[in-house]
Amino acid sequence: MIQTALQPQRILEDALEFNRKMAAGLNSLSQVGEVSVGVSPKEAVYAEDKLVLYRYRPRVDKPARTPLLIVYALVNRPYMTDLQEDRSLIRGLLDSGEDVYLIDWGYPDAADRFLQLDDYINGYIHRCVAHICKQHGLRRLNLLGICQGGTFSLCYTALHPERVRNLITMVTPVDFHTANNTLGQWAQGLDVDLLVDTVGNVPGELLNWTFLSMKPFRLTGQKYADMADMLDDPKKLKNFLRMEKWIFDSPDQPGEVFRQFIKYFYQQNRLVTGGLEIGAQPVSLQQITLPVLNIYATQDHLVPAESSIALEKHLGTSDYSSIAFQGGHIGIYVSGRAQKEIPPAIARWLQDRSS
Amino acid sequence: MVESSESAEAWTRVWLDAQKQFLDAWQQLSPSGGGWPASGKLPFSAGDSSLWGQALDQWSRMANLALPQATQDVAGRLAGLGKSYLQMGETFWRMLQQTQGTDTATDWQAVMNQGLEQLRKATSLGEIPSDPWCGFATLWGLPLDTWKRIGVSLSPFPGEMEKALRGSGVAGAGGIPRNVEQVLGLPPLGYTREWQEQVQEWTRLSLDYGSVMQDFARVLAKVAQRALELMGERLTELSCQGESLGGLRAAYDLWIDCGEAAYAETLATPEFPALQAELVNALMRLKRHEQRILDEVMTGMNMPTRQELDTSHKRVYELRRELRDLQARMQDMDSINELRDQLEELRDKVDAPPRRTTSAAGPSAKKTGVTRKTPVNKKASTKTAGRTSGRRAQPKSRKD
Repeated sequence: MIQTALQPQRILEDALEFNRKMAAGLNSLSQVGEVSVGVSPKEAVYAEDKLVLYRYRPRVDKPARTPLLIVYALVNRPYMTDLQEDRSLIRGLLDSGEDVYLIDWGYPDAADRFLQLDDYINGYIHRCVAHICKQHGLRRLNLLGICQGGTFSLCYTALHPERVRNLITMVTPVDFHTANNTLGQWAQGLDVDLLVDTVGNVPGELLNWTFLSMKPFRLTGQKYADMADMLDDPKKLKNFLRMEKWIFDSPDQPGEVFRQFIKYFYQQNRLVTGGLEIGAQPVSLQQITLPVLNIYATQDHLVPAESSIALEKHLGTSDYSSIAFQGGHIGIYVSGRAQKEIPPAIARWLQDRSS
Repeated sequence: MVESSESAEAWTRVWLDAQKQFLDAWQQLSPSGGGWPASGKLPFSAGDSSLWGQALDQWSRMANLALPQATQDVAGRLAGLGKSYLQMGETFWRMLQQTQGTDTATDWQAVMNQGLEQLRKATSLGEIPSDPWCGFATLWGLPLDTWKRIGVSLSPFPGEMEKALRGSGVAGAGGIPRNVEQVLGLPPLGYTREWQEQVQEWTRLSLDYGSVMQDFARVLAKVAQRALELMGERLTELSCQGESLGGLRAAYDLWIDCGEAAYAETLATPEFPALQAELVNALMRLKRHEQRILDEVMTGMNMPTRQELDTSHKRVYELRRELRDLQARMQDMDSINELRDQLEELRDKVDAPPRRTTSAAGPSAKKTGVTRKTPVNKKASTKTAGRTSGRRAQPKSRKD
């Protein structure tokens, strides 16, 4: 039975092993070099304020005729969709024949504090869409909204249905008051007026704390124990550092947009209960009658699957499809399975609606 | 890069040698090697004064020297994990020393459970220290420290103001005695009464924030206690199955699992999200007041204040919106004017007597061309054109 007991000597050995890894790790860390992100070739085709619209270089001879515009969240940076060669939603879409554009919101500063949802949805997104449509001689394009960008895309499509041909939402919150929505419950008690009036733009660090608080033991502790285990594997270490960079590369949130987003969506749940107005125009999901593909993650701790699934019953469209990805909020972009499943599924769905 | 790498290797050698010497010394001092110092200062202890803690601090310093900026932060977080990890190692090592010489799984499990229970009792809620940063809430790296960093980063005052004032009886999370409130109730008087009032208010808000912080720390302490309970249960299960943890890393992973499970239970209560929100609210009330104080100081120095900058930014923003609206209207006006011109032209054509010349030279030919493109029916033409303008000109012939 002695083999089954935890021995003090074993603890010592493990501590020494940890020590050895840390020592060796200093070498590995110093040799890691630049942690590069965003691997697919792209060119800036439009810019306005902090925003840059990118077009990715197609990877097939004849890409799809209708371009696909990706609208990412204001939270964190959009290079998560193109993190590295073997972990890239964008690369997968390009390989599947899509002509991909992406909005990079940049890093808002104090001068952007008063930007509102209207400026983002009826302003920035609308002008990007208009630019792409003009370049392609089209009236409509395909829209892919991710997370908060998905919520923006729903609003945009409801307000400008004549500009969208097909809409895809990924890990998008719709019903903010589902029982398991921890962020939603937290936001209920938040005095967002006081917060925004005090800090102006909401610091990315504060959002990081919120997200880390969802699983604090794993995200502030165990993750680094795992890192210690991979210190002698340069490839794994670099992958880890890329992800780490993304997690903590958190732009500040323009104050007024944050105020409106928390109030209208998280606190008042207007997308579902009604009464949402953006730029003095009413927004209703019933106004969306075009084809919609909704992709959600079954183990999403930030946007619970139920919050996304709710979309179906509020839409006006009769062409609704969904994909339940067996994974989490991050895994849906970067896991090996996601690379195999998600981009081809999107491309197939679009292709079926291209004629 | 080469320089950095060489420097890292050199430091690594130095550090590793130091660790080896230290471990050798430790092995000789350990009970099996001749005895452990009665003072009980273990190499595993992660406190600032411990040898392991010092070693990790040294590692962090090396990392700062040898690593590029981009990886320094992550190295710091790794060192932080190391301290928690080794602190746990120390705790378990102490517990398991009692099993030396025994040889049954039940023994180690029983001793571990006993140790965990002692740890839980020793840190019962009534014994949470007034300083939440140092309490049970931070056991083996709980996340209160993350919040501490947020609080500091959001402060308009330089450095760790709260830490600097802690214990002085003036301010700080949990550092202000409640009897200070009596002083706060005194009416401010004299030439500096306004300033006194500001300071009183700041102190009151600090007290409130400290109080919420205490509540938050208390909840986290409960989480840690529950995690210990769960860990004891899991250890018993393992023992019943004839299995063991396998080592320190397995013990650490088990602690993480139990911690997350305990945290999830707390997270599911309505009180915790509300408390978390109140923590932010209380900090914001304090920061808002600090900003007002700073703005007054800045005004006194004839420097621009945050409020003034905000006002300017808002005005610029509003002007841009107005400009965009005007531009959009002008575009609409241009379209309307264009249509109006075309209408006038048509009217002139209809009203004017028909020309008989058919020579195709110069401007008259061009005019004729324009006229020919326009439908003859005046009413129909006007209606169609007006509708197109209202939709902001969506050409029907587009591809899609």
